[in-house]
Amino acid sequence: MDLSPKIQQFLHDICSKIPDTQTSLDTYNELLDHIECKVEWRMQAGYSEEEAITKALEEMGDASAVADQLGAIHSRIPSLDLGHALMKIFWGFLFSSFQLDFGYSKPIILMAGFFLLLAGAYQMRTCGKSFRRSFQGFCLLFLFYLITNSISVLPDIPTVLLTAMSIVSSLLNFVSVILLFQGLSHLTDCLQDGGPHGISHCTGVYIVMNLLILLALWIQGLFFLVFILFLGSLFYILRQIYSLRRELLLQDVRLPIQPFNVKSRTVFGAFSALFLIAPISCGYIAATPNPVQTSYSVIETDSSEQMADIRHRLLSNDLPEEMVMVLPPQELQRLAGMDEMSSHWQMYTIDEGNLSLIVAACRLDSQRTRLLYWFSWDEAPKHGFRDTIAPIVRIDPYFDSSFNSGSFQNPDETLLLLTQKDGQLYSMMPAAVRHSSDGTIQSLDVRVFPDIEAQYILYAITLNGDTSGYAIPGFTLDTAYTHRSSFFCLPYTDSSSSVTTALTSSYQHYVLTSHLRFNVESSELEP
Amino acid sequence: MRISKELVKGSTAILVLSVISRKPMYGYQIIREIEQLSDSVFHLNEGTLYPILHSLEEENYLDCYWEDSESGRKRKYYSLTEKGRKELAKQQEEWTTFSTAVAKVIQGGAYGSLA
Repeated sequence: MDLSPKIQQFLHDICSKIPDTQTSLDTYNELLDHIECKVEWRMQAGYSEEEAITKALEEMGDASAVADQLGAIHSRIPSLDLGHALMKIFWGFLFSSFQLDFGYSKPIILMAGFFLLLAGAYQMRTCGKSFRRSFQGFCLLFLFYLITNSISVLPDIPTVLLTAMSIVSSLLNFVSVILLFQGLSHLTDCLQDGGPHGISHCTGVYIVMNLLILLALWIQGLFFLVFILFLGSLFYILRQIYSLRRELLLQDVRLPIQPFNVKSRTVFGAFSALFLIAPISCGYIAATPNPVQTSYSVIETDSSEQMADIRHRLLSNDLPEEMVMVLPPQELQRLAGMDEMSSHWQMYTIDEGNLSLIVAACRLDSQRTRLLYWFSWDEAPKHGFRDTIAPIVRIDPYFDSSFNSGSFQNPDETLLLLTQKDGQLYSMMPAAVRHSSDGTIQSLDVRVFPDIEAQYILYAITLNGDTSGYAIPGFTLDTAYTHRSSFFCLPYTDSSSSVTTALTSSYQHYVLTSHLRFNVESSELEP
Repeated sequence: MRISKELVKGSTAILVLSVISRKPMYGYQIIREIEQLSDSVFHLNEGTLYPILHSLEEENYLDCYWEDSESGRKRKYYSLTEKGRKELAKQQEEWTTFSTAVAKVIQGGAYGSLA
């Protein structure tokens, strides 16, 4: 049966007063069914179609009165401000994809982005199954994030568990974002002209974007290219979300949302409280006495026999007891005049004739500069190293942004630790030293990356302008004990004249199982 | 006998909730059901049924779902939620109290008072 113009007009008069598009459409279908039932019934009773329609519409009553009542009922539901919700998603996506880091900025920006995404998903959760599931996914992700970070500071957490939780978090993030895009894509289908069609491609682009990040982690050499592709993908996604927002605002599409009720307020309150409590609890855990102090074995090196043994081992490897590295004065002058040097660690490669240097520099203030430097083996003075040293000498990537914090910021002194593996020089690591008030070393903070497999620290070289160095023989890196700390880096102090310390990193603490005793003044090992 | 609109108006919600409590129904069916059960005493203004249904739905007393009718049209069915069931029980109790009281007063008036 073709729809009579009278019925159409009647339904239009009523449904045009209902602000929400979907509700308006549903009401249209519902009333149409009612009217057509009546018309069919009348026609079966012998009325003509025209008469049946007229009679059915009469019995429906005054259209404007019904429209006013329905309009009043449905305007009680607050309409979703799509503009705001989508802008939250826009900024949330931008911030949560942030890859640059300035000190602690990255986690803060990521969290801010995550919260904006969560808020956007919360606002749109009633607009479809995808949005609702996306919101639930973000809530779960947030919970996982809190749990993972809270337990990560506890000692003896199995690596497998943390890895599994990390994988689950990544998957939750991935799925939640994809569901969000599906919801947005569905939203464009509801628009009269289909909306910005590119939004439906965002899911694919997001998957490509994640693959690019993975690729960048594996292919460091192509990082720049991959990063450009990543930025392109991000730009595409943001542009689509922005276009969708514009399209929805232009068409004045408004969707109903449930008002804030007690239940949702409680859930949000609980989340916020957890967010506030988590760092405090982590801080409390980190401040408690660390089990490392009782779980490692100490070799007392003040025993002359022990020292003799260590010396013997050193000598049997034909290693010098002390090593001095001096940067030629002209190179020092060059470095001191470098404009690029900042308050953070920087790395420079200098090729000057036969001398090849790799220098790490950290400007402490306008007067003081810490320098860590490494001679490439082939060109270096022979007195510093064994002839059998392997050509592969690693320099640990300690210029990572995570080193711009904690005791690595403005240390009292910086040491350069040389490590050994399989009888060969293996790596070079910076160490930050804090002095106690009487001038002795209070703490020694070394950050080691998880893939470092050094067996011994051979030397700790002081680079504070003097030519002396600390020999630290016999220090074993004990990887059996791992103490994770995502938030904090804790150096451990034994006594004023000796240092027992954990070597810390963003991921693992390595415990020195030997006992260091040396005299700062004389820079010599005490027997 | 036709009942005045004002009298029916206050009891429409309980009528609607009562018939839907037996089985899920669509709008037209609800009107027919009420009419049949009341022996054509109650004849709801058809247009005003929907504001009542939507209002009850917004209050979460009713749940709804769509099905295709035999003629192929989309048809919206309403069913009672748990909250709706409680509300119906409450309204039935109120109604019983109210109707008993009204009956007592009316009966008292019919048979004379002490005055």
